[in-house]
Amino acid sequence: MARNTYFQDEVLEEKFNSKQLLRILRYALPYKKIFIGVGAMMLAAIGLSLLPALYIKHIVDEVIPAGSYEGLSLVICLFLLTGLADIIIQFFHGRLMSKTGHTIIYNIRGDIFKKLQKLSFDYFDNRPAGKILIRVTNYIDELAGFFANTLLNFVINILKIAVLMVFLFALNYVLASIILAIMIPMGAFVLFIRSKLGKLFRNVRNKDSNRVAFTSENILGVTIIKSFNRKQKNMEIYGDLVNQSLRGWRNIHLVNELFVPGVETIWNIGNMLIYIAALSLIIGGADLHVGTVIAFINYIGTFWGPLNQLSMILQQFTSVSSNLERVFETMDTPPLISDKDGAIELPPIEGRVTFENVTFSYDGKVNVLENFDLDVPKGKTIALVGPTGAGKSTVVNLIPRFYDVTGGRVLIDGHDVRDVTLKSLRSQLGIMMQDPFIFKGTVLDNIRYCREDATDEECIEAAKKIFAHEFISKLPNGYYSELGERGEGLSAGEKQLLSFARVILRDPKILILDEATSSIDTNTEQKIQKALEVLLEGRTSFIIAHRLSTIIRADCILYIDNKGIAEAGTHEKLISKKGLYYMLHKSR
Amino acid sequence: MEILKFGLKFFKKYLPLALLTQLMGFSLIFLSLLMPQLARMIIDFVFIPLDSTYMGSEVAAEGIFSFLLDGYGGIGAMELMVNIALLSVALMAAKHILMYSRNSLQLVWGFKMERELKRLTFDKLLSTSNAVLSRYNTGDLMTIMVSDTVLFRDLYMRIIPYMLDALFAIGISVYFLFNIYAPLALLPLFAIPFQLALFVRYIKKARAINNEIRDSTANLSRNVQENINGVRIIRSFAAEDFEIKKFDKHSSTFKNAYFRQAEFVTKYGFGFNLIRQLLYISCIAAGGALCMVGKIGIGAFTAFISYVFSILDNTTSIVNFTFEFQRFLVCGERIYTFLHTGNIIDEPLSPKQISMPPHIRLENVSLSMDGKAILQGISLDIPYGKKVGIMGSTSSGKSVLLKVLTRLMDPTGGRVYVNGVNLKEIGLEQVRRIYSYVPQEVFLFSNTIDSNIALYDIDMPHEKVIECAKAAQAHDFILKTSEGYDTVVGERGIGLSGGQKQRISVARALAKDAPVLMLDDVTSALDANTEKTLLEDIFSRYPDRTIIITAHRATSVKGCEIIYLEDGRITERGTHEELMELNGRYADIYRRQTADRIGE
Repeated sequence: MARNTYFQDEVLEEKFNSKQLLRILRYALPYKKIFIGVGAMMLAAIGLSLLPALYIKHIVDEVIPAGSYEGLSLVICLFLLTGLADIIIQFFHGRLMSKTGHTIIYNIRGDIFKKLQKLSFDYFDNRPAGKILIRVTNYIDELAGFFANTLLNFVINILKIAVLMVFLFALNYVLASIILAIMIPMGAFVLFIRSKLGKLFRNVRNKDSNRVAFTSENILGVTIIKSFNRKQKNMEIYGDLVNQSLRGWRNIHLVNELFVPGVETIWNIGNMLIYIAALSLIIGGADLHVGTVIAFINYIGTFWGPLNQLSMILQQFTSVSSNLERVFETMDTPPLISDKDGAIELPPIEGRVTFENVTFSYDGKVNVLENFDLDVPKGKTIALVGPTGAGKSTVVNLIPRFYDVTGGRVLIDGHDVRDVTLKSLRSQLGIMMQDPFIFKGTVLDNIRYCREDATDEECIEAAKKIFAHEFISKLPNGYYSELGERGEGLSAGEKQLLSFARVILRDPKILILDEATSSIDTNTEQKIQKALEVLLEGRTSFIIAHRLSTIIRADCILYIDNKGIAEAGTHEKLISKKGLYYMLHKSR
Repeated sequence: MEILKFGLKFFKKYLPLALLTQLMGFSLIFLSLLMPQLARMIIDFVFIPLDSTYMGSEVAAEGIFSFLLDGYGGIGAMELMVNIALLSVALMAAKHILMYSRNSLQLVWGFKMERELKRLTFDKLLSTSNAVLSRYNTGDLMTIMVSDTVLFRDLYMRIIPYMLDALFAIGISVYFLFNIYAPLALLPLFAIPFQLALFVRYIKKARAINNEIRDSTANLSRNVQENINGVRIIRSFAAEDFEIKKFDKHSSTFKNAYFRQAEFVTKYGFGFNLIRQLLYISCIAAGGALCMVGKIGIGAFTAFISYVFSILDNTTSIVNFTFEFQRFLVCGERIYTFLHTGNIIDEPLSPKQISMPPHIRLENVSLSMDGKAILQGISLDIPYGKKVGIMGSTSSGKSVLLKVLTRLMDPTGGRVYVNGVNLKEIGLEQVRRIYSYVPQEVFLFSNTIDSNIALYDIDMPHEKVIECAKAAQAHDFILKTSEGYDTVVGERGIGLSGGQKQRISVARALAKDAPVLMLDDVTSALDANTEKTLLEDIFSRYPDRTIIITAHRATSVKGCEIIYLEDGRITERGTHEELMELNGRYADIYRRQTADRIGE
């Protein structure tokens, strides 16, 4: 079983792209007041962070030798105030930034979801659902941390290090230069380890995702695996994947474990150098006291935080930017079908449908329909028959503008479908394709679907009209029964009836129906046939027909073949013609 | 306790190694806790004596490193300092060598344990019966196999060793505190209860918040998934605005869950920070006061602060580890239960061999599940080459019957024989080689179409794959896909229609080339014409093989010996002509269906 071939896509090269970051910053603009406010608080916190070490210095150098309890109490009070201020700042900072971060990603997520609602079928058909899903969920989730922390931290940490350095140089430039000299190897070491770890993590993520996907498939397909005697082979493959994964993790651990020793060693050496340098200065007669030495040792510690955070920033920027690339790819995809500028609302229609010299091709090379002409007055039922792939689905897909014609026009009540808004067009049509699409919710929810203004009574009325009321009433909670995803618990015919009820509720003037896999469920078949009669009455209907009863009843049968209408007429007329339709009819 | 023993079983042979690493851990902690003593020496014996403000005050030469002071007075300050510095570097180096070796060694047995746990759970998945697996949903199994195995081994590789480390650290720190000035040890005793109480409350509440986040994440994900899957109907109903509103509800809930988390974390963070600050400041106050009265030196003062925080941090660690301990133990329990759930379909102790071709016979087979009778008294004789068609309503037991034949389920009554041998006495692998089975639920792997069809034997020649695809009426549409037979399908590949997936599934079964072909409702997503051609093709290609098919359309089974199932019983059986003459359920369905069918 090929393992890496099709997982490649998920591991995009992670590059740093500043254009995208600028684009995403625009989402942060509405909240700039918060950012500025928090930024100011953090600047204050930087100042506050310098104080504790100074207090201790004061205690050691002045208070203790003087033996002054008042002095000690004073410093302790200052200490308390400083500490409290710092804690309060941290409280507000954490709360505000986290909420702001999540509000921003809520906005971004809304935008990408809205965009998805505009995209055409081909976008969804050409991608596995998982890849689209992850752009709306995971990739955007990861941005929260970026806005909440990374953005501000970047600026603040640089400032903090700068302020600290300036301050330390003012305190004692010799000792400060040692700290500076220590920071450089420490920073370099941290960056080195992080970049190595970054590569190793990417590698392990690959391996892990392969392994997890393989595991999931073995669970879902366990019956197939057993039936096809694949147990041993799959165990081998799994063992191999596990080994690869563990090898990757081992390498990560081995590198990661160098982190603390490396940093601590440098830190410790730095401490010792400070002590030795201070000692030399003192021996050399400088006016340097113990308190100051202790303070410097403490200050080395405060560098660690900002340094560490900065070292992670580049990685965070890089991973955010690769997520963004995929998110923007979706947001920038142009929808194939959209409202034209100045599109008007389609007024309530009567139901006359006209195809005027229509030519259509899916790929721009082969025409599926050519010079197709058809005029259907309101209220008529049209049955489309013919060989697979001849164009029946294509014809009906053009009416709601699921695809646009490449030549000619499609008119409803004289309006070109391209001149009206998609919403006003489609909300006046009733379309039932092969999949009845039952979703998680009650029976009523499924009948009502998006017609929020429909009352429960109206839904029940609709169900009664198409003979679904009986089976619904027999369900454990009747109309309030919860249906599972994909409508488990209902037979195929019952699902169909439910989708009929949905359409009846809308009462469209034009109906499109695909009967391809009908008549599987013999129990409900009679009801479905009766329901169809009700459904078709008073509407213009286009049916890709398979039921003889449907076809015979149609006002006109179109035999679609060879890029257009090969034969047209009523059942009797076509039978007497003894042509293609006659052959089809005989063959059953 | 049983679970712990269960885990111990895995690294019994590594126990000496584990003990060694634990000792290494203790040693490096000890070394670590020596560092404040060195700092103390430096302050008290190098700097203070030279400091003008402290002229005259003397600190007693005590502490672990007082040996360095032998002959003090004769040693210059710089020499002492350098000695201490070198000692510090040496101790650090020793500590780090121990640390690195210990952590690397732990990986050895930790990963071996994980590997073994993963192997066992995977083996269980592929060996155990459907009845056992049906008790778990996919998410549960994924959790057990992917994350529980990791967390359970983490219990042994990380949690237990580090808990022991923390206990040891606390002990050493307390000792050093006593060593400096006994009453000082009381200070942490005031802070720790508050810290612990707060922490315990925090962890309990955190669980609820995490659940809220997990639920809102799952709901959001499901909502978006439904939206993506339902794109056709959404466009058909122009329901985009409705969907956006629905989505917004979930997205807001998600956001609010994180808001609550932020509020929760910052609130408790405030509490924890406050305790820490107060402890720190009281240490300064107490230490400062003691220094002023000369009870301790400045150096001891700084060391004392280090040890107090060591105790506080390690205590918090232990509590944290305790919660993880509980969590990870639960993971182990899940693994244990899964591995020990009765293997209802057992491999026979000494499997009998059978020869091909197979003559199958069902003798009064019944199957009950949860008190419901799914099959009752099924007796059927299937000599090799027979064509059997099974019809019946959706829950009549058709699929279960096929599963019994291939031992994916075992009957609760009656017996199945193959060439006179009881199915239960034949090895599972051999049983399954008898059948090419196309189940009702289509599943394709995330792989190329070619690999999917060649599942049984990956070295199958490509011509054979094409031949089977043609027989399954799949070849034409495969060629129309973007990369033909190399197109990736399945979860991670392009979306195929239900009918297309079914046909690939049939091709896959044909490619296995087993003596018995079983097709479970494989044409439900196909239109009548395609179905007719497919079945005709198959019947003509394999005239000698046993073929068993279940279907909804009577026309599918017309050429077979037909059995009609109702509530798990065979109510009608015979050829098409016989059943039409019988004028029962079958005849009724046949007439109704053909009266109204028209091909394309």
